[in-house]
Amino acid sequence: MHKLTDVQPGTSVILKEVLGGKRLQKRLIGHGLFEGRAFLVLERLGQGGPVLVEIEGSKLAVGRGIAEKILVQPEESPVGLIG
Amino acid sequence: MLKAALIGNPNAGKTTLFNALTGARQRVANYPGTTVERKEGGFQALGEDVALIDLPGLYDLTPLSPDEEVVRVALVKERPDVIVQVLDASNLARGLYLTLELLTLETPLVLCLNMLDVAEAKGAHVDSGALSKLLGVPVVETIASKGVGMEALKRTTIKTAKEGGAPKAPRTTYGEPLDFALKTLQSTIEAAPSLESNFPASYLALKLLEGDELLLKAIQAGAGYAPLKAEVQAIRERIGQSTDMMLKQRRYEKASQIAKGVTLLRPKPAQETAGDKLDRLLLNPRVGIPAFLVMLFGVFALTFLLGNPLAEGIERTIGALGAWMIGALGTASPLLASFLTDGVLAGVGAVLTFLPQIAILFLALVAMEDSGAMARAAYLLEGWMSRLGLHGKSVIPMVLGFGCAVPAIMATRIIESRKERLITMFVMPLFSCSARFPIYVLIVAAFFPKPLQPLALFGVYMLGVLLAFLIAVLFKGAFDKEEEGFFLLEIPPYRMPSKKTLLFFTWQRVGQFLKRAGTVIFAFSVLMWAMSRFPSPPANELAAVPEGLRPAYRLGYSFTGRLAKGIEPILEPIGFDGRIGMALIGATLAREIFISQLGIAYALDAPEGASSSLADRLQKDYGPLTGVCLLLYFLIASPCIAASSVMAKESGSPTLAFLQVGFLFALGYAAVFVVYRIGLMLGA
Repeated sequence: MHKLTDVQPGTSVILKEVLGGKRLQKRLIGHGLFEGRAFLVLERLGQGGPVLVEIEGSKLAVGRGIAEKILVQPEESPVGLIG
Repeated sequence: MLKAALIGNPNAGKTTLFNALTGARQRVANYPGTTVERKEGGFQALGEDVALIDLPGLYDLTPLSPDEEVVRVALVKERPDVIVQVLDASNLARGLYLTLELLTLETPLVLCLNMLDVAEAKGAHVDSGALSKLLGVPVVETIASKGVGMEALKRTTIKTAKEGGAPKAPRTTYGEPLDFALKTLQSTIEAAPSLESNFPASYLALKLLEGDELLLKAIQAGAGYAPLKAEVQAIRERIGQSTDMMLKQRRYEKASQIAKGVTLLRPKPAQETAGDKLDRLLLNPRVGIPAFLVMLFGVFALTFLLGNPLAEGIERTIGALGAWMIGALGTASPLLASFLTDGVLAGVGAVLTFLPQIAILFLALVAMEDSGAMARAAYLLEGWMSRLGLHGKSVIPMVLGFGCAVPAIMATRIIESRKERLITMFVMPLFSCSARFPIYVLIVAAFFPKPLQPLALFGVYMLGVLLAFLIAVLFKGAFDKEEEGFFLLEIPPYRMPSKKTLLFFTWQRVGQFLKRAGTVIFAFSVLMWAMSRFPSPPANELAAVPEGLRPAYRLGYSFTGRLAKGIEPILEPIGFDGRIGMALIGATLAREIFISQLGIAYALDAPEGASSSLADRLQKDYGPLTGVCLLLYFLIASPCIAASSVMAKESGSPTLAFLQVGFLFALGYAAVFVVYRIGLMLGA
């Protein structure tokens, strides 16, 4: 498992665990981010910047602090179409 | 009169839809006891009047803050006859996640499937008929930005409200043992009428199992509360601690399933969309951040290039009007003529001159927000911002701050951590608002050569931004360090802002400005005129003064003239004289008054018949050093009562608001002092 901040852009991943509290988990579910969900890592900004992901066809910027608490597993076969 | 509530995810096009439905019939107020904005409007169709409330955008009905609780209260306590939910057709699962919750409220529901054009462009076709059948509620297709589907939506809303009754949706299943637990809990609630809650039993059961703290608090006064709480606890213990997360996740999966079932995806085109291509370029910080700055600079250049000729036109019109008034009234009633020309026209007129520039500025701000540019700027700048102790989303209130600090301070609510929110508010006055804009324009026009004017103006704004960042860094340790930054932001697809939306919001802002010019500025112009005109020197004293010096003598004798003399010792060290002092006194109430007050002072001071523009007169009387000092003073030191009171309210700390005013005044005074002294030494 990797932290979301350690994943190379262009990788499709499956969310394994959210380390934060319930409040964070609840917010993330509203954006479709919870255990078992697949999404694509689009971009990773340096300088402590956020990670940009694409989930169900929409783009979401995830701040560094949150991204470090999201554990993911790269998907074996590349996903052609998400959403 | 039917009552309807409009709800939806952020970015689903809710505000555009609200405007398209209600037009200009809108009222903005606050929810009692909160600072949450409550927008109300109305429409007519089928011979019925419908009152529509616009609720704040949200992702689900589990409030995590008191501000979000407001939405639930509005839905449950106010009992609208119908709820209209806006869904983004290109992002259906997320919208349906909220829908599945709304269905448990047992209030008639209409789904508005919006942004069909965006979905089609993405290669997705949504079958609204199938969606309607699956959920047992009417679904109306719309493209709010183009006004498509509005009549159908109005009619369906009214029909659904009149039919009444809970939506005929099949119950959402969560799988066992959750379904069994929900049913048991629901029957307990139904058997306990003493609970006295306004919530339907199915909704209450769901939310209690999800561990909704605010809801527990809301019903704890009822007699049936204690046994209910015990039962909820027992169930949660039996199923496990993650009951709440399980319910939410299953609901999202369900929503996702429904969305997939009703969406026909065309095979993804080999080429990426224009928006994706643009994003690959612009979401790279090395390209995106400079592009953002260029865009901001472009806005300021535009206000000059396009706004100046228009402003000059207004100025000429006002001048002609003044000349005509003097001609018509001058001999018959000199005092009335002076009141109308030197007071009203010189005061309100001087401020109105800047109307074109302000309209252009607001138009550009609205376009930036509506097109999706602002969200991208927030994403790109988050890394830098968080190191400054700010938040990526701080960018949005900050850019809004160029319009007005009041909505900007209110917009800091989108920042979810308190510390970053407070710092953003604290430095907000350094983002020059549109009230200071005309002052800058006047001074820049008076003291800078024409080719340098846009750059000078942009420079003032940038200096403010730089100072704001410096102060943020210095103060970041002073604010409580409770939580880490919390940044989660949806990047909406690029959107061409519709002409209707642009004009609507710009008109709203311009309207506020005009209202201000007609009320506050008018009142102060009259007051300033009176203070500058009276008391008059005795006729014999005036007669002893040479003809050409009489206006100046008259002004010095007046109340304002004496007051300005009084504060001269404070202003002298920073190079401001009595006349500027008078204008600064006015400016503490509203910054625009600086210009009207100068206008009045010069009008009363002018020898008969002399009429040259305010900029020309300033240039004649003061040097460029005074110009720079004035720019600095207004950039840093000048307080604004409206902004400070909002600051006190939004931060919950009047002390912080006082500290802010005191700190910025001291800093500004010191900066002007240093610049003035260095300037004098250099012989400027």
